[in-house]
Amino acid sequence: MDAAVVIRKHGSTLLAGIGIAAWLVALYLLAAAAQHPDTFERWLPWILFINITGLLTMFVLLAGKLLRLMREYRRHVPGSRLKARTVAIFSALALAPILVVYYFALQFLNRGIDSWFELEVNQGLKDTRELSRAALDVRVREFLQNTQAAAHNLSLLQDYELIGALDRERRESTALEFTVIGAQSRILATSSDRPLDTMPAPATDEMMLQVRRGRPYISLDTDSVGGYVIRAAAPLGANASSGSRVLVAMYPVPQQLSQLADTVQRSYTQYAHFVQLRQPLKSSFVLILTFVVLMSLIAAVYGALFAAQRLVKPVQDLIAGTRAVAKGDYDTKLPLPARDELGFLVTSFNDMTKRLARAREETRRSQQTVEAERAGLAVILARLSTGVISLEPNRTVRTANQAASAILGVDLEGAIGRPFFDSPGDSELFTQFLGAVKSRIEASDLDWREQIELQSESGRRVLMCACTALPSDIGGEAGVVLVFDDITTLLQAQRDAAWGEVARRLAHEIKNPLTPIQLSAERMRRKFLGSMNAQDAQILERATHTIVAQVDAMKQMVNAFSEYARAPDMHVARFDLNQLITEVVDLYRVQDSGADLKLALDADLPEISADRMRIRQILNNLVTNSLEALEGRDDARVGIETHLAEDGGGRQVVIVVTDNGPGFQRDLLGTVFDPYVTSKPKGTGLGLAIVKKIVEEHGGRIEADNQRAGGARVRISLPSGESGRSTKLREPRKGEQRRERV
Amino acid sequence: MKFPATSRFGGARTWLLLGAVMLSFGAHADGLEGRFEVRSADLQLKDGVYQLNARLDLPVGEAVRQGLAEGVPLTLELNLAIERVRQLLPNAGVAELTQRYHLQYNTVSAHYVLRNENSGEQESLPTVDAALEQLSQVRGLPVLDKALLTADRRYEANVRAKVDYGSVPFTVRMLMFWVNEWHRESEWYTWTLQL
Repeated sequence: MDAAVVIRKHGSTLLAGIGIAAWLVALYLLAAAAQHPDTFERWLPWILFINITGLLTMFVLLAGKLLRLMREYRRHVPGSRLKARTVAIFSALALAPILVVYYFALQFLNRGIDSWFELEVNQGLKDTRELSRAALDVRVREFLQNTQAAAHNLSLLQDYELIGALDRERRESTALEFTVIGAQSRILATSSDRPLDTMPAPATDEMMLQVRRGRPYISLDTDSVGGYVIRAAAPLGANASSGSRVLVAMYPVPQQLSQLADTVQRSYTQYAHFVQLRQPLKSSFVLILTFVVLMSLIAAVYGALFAAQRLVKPVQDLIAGTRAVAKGDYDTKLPLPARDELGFLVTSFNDMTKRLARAREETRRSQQTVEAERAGLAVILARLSTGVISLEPNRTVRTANQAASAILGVDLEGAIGRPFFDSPGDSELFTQFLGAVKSRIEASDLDWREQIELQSESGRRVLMCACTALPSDIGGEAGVVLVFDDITTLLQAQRDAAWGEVARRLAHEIKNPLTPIQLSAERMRRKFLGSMNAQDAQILERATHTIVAQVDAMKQMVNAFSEYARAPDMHVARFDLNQLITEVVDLYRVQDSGADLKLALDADLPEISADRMRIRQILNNLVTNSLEALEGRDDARVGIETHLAEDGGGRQVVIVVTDNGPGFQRDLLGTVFDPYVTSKPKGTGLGLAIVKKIVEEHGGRIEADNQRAGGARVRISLPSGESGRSTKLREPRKGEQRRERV
Repeated sequence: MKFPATSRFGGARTWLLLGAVMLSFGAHADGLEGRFEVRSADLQLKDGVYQLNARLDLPVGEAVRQGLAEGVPLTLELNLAIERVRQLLPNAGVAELTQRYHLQYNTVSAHYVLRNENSGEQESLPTVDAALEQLSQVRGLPVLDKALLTADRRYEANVRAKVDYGSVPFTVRMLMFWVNEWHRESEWYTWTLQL
């Protein structure tokens, strides 16, 4: 690894290590400096600086960490309580022995240093001092007597006689120096055994004052080389006064005695030195000890914090990881702290989250698949023309498609989640449907299929309904799915096809023999009418007339059937529908039908693409039907209305024909467009059937119902032909064309 | 032997040492009671030599007197500096003199020995008051030859005194830096020389 990378990565640790090492060394040197002041005097400021800096740094770091821990504790940060408890326990464990050691060390220090100054030592020194003084006092008194004797001998001498006598007296004694001092401290004479070395010792003020007061002066003094001398002074003469002469003598102290006295003085001074250092030393030692203890305490608490951090970190990670998992984050991966019990726990947690993530992914994929299938099913159901309703076990609506709502004329999608059988029955069809299925479902008859006939205002509706139980996961009552299809149109188409076949057979089987019958009857009449008597001729005439008339009637009926069954041969062109309607109505007005023909035509009606003749036939049939229904009524009214309407398939041209007649019989309302269904005594029952057929050939729709105010109403919707005209018009089938030709 | 600060660090108070360190950081215990200063000083020309006469205020408390009596030494250092005054520049040094005196009780002779460290002269004094009185005054100390001074220049003389009580090691002084009872310095006493 590159050195720069190592320094960058471990730089702070390295610096901290160097700092701690320097601090420990400085601490050791501080302790050593207290014992050997002279050795470390030069480095002491630096030693102190490093120690104080280290202590302050540690203190600041510790305070920062403790404050951070307190903040985390107050904010209930996960793991902070455990960390605080761990720190408190570790700190207490470290604090107790440190304080005990500190206490006993203090006691030992105080008592140890105090023991240096035991009373016996002090007293011994004092006794030694007193002994020394006593030993010297003997000499001092002896020297004082010698001095006084010499002074007495010299007292009678004149000043000029003093020099010789003084020298003689000094030689007779053991004095180092004799000096006679006169008034104003003037030296009158002196004698010394070292005349060239030193000047005569001057008389001190104290000495002169004491002597002149009549008291002898004697004093043990130190000389400049550290030895001892005895100074004595006595007045020359009995009366001492300010002007009298004074003999000052200086005697040597024997070398052995001087050395002993010097030793006593040194010991005494040294002891005084120790005594002076006693309290500062104690304070210094206490200070250093306190310093070390304080540092140990801080280090202990810091170590406790560090250990607690190391201990709590995996637990904090686990708590954070658990919270993340609780929030749905299964990608959490915790760092492995160590290969211990916590490490095992973290590994288990990581395995668990990995498995959870895998399971969640699988669940998500399954959900996506189910959702996709459900969406596909919903699309299929929405586009299905078959109505599908599924019910929960408690018979609430689980799903319902658009077709079900359209067939039953009720918003079933809005009823999802509500009780199915309590759904609002504002639709007559739905009410009838509920009545048909409710009893069976409530009787737990959940597997059936039957055709249900419903009556509506627009006629009879036939539904093919199947009921199936849904599988139940937990047992108990099962859900239900109802599948139903409006087969009214299918049945109608089947009936139309059947009637078409009948019409074709009629046209084929009946129409052909009618002409020979008619021709034969006319031939019989022409051949035998003239040869018969009047009575027979009358009978023949009447019989043949009847035959011809009935054959004509039959021909008309057969033609009508032929017309119904004819193959569509469309001649589509664009024309103005309003104009066509006006033309048709004008014909009826000219015939003076006796009815009031009213038109309400939409002037904005576009031209339509249709077979003009067929549309004319539709109008003729409908107007004729209405006029026939209004026969005998004075207020007969027939109305024709056109307008545009929007339909799901595009714009529709709507023709509504109404009258104020009796209307359609209710029981015939569902089959009014079926062939041979009529309420008129002379009707063939094919008029509306042909109308319906033509409308369907144009891709339109026809409905018949009764008006609330009375009277019938027929509503025809035709494509406006503006788009998709060719595809909407029904193409003739080959079979139909072939049969028409037959 | 007893020191003024002895009672400050006794018994249970030791436990509060750290707190005392912080609280007494700026405090100064003073073994030399009162203000230590150079009360007066002057230079007198005698026989072509300027001689220093000075008077010091050396207020010694009872504790220091007791310490002296038990053998603790007292050292006095006298600093004299004579400068030539310059207008825009710092003063130029002309002469500097340091004189040291050592006072210690001799227990065998029961006298206080005052020694001039520079000359080696010493004097025995029977009482501490006499010794301190002797130490407080400087008489006729030759400091400067007249020839070293120029008449048309202006000169300033500065005198300062330092006193050290005992012989406390530097280490202890550093450790007990907030206890200032072993060393004192006076302010500089300054006057203009009259040539």
